[in-house]
Amino acid sequence: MRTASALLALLLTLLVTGCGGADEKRAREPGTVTCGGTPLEQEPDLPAGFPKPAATTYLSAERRGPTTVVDGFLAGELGDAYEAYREAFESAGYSILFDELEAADAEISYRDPARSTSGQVALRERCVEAGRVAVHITARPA
Amino acid sequence: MRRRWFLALCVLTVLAGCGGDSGGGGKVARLTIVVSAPFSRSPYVAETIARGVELGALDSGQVAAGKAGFNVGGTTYELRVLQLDSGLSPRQALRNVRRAVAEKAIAIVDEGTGVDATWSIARRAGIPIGIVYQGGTGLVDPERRPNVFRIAPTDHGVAFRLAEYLIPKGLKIALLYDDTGYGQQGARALDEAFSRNREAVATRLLLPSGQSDLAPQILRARRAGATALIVWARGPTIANALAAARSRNWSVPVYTPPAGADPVVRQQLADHPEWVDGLTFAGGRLTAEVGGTAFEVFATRYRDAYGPDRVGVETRAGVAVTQPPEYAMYPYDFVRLLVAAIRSVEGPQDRDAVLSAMNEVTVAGANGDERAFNRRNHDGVVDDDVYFARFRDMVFRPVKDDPLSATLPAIDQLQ
Repeated sequence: MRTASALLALLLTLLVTGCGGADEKRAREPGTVTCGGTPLEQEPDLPAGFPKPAATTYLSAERRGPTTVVDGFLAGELGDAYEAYREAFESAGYSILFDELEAADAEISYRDPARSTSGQVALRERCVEAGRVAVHITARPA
Repeated sequence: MRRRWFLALCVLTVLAGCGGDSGGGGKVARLTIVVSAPFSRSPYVAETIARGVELGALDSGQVAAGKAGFNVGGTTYELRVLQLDSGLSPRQALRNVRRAVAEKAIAIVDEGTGVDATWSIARRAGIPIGIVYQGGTGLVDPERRPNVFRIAPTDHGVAFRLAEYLIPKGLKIALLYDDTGYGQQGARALDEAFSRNREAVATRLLLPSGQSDLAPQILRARRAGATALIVWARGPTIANALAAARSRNWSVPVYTPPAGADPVVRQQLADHPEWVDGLTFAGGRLTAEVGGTAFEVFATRYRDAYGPDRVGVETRAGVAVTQPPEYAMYPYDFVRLLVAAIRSVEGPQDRDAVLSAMNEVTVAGANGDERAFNRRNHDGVVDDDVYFARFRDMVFRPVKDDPLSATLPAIDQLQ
């Protein structure tokens, strides 16, 4: 009887741990972040006409001294997110100072057309939620 | 008589190796890279730069074992590095650049002193300048100074990242800067970075670089209500400022630009290692997003070639401290970009083509990240790659209270 109970408990444990979704598994991986939450109601304090590709959601914005820092996510894959931001910067007349696409991350450093603001859009493929890319934006006086 | 024949043969062999046709039938030419750096005034910085240039040349190709060079367009180009001391003097830097022009140098790798006066002379001779230490905002301007490039953290990036890091802490900050070009450029960048948050600035003071006792200035900062100091100065002045504060039992946190990591700071304070504890500096991240492996490989390569850069101090446990080769990494990457540009245009003859190609090529940098310039940007280190590290027991580690720095690995400094 005791053996049967122990076996049942073991089976239940295996079932519970094995049943976690892909998101739950990803959440246990080091370096992952949550790309969920309530979207910002107001647009953050970014330069006028700052590119915002479709499927981008801003989750938080804060002021760190002279610099605006925005975090959010873009629904899609890293390569698509990188291309979307690149194209959006170019069509908005921004200068791309440096850009790099790697296996799990990408960065685009920019300067706005008025040359008054510069910063970076960093894209990271480390969201707990599947199909989302973390977006981290800095905007500081150029 | 036999000995005379042998001598003549030796002379002929040497002459044949100096130019003209190589044994394989192709031409051989020598390309000179000038390193203009303060070998007499900031030997650590200058020697590290020169070593980075040498390694960059060797790793761009070798025409014989241990002999830097490459073949392109049917010609073998041997790379030669010529070190010239700038002594931190703009006038001497000008003489160095004239010498580089006379030597028909293919590039000048420069600590940064005097570039305001030298860039146009180099430009007329079609010589690119690669600044690898100073971060002054006006030094690099792709439109006005198309031959000036930089791989080093910019003063703009360092000053703004310091403002982003410190202002949210609610500190009242004294902005201290020395009277060198490095300090003056830093003061301008700090003024700009803190101009929108003047409530965070307690005072702004000049530190005379030739004055070892900075007690009067440090006391003024304290009386102004400062709860933190940013000391933007060369290494010896940073050490003097720390000594002035700590010897008066003022435990105010001290922040610096990259010069805070200069071994001279720890050497000067070797008798009071506890005074170095807590010193925090801003610098360019040494490792890539993917991790520290590439930098470790580069650091091993550097150590194998030159031995460890001993700081000259020990931890409390008596272990000798070494310096990671950060200021070799930047010139290393610059030289590799230069050679990539020369290769891409089939040789160095058309200097304008080489300059133009510098905007097109990309190399894998020593830290694993890509290095590249483009027509709009001649700065190879972006502002967002500035991180913070803090000293404890004579070695530094990335801080944990800054989002970027918290993700970076500590670099071994005890080998």
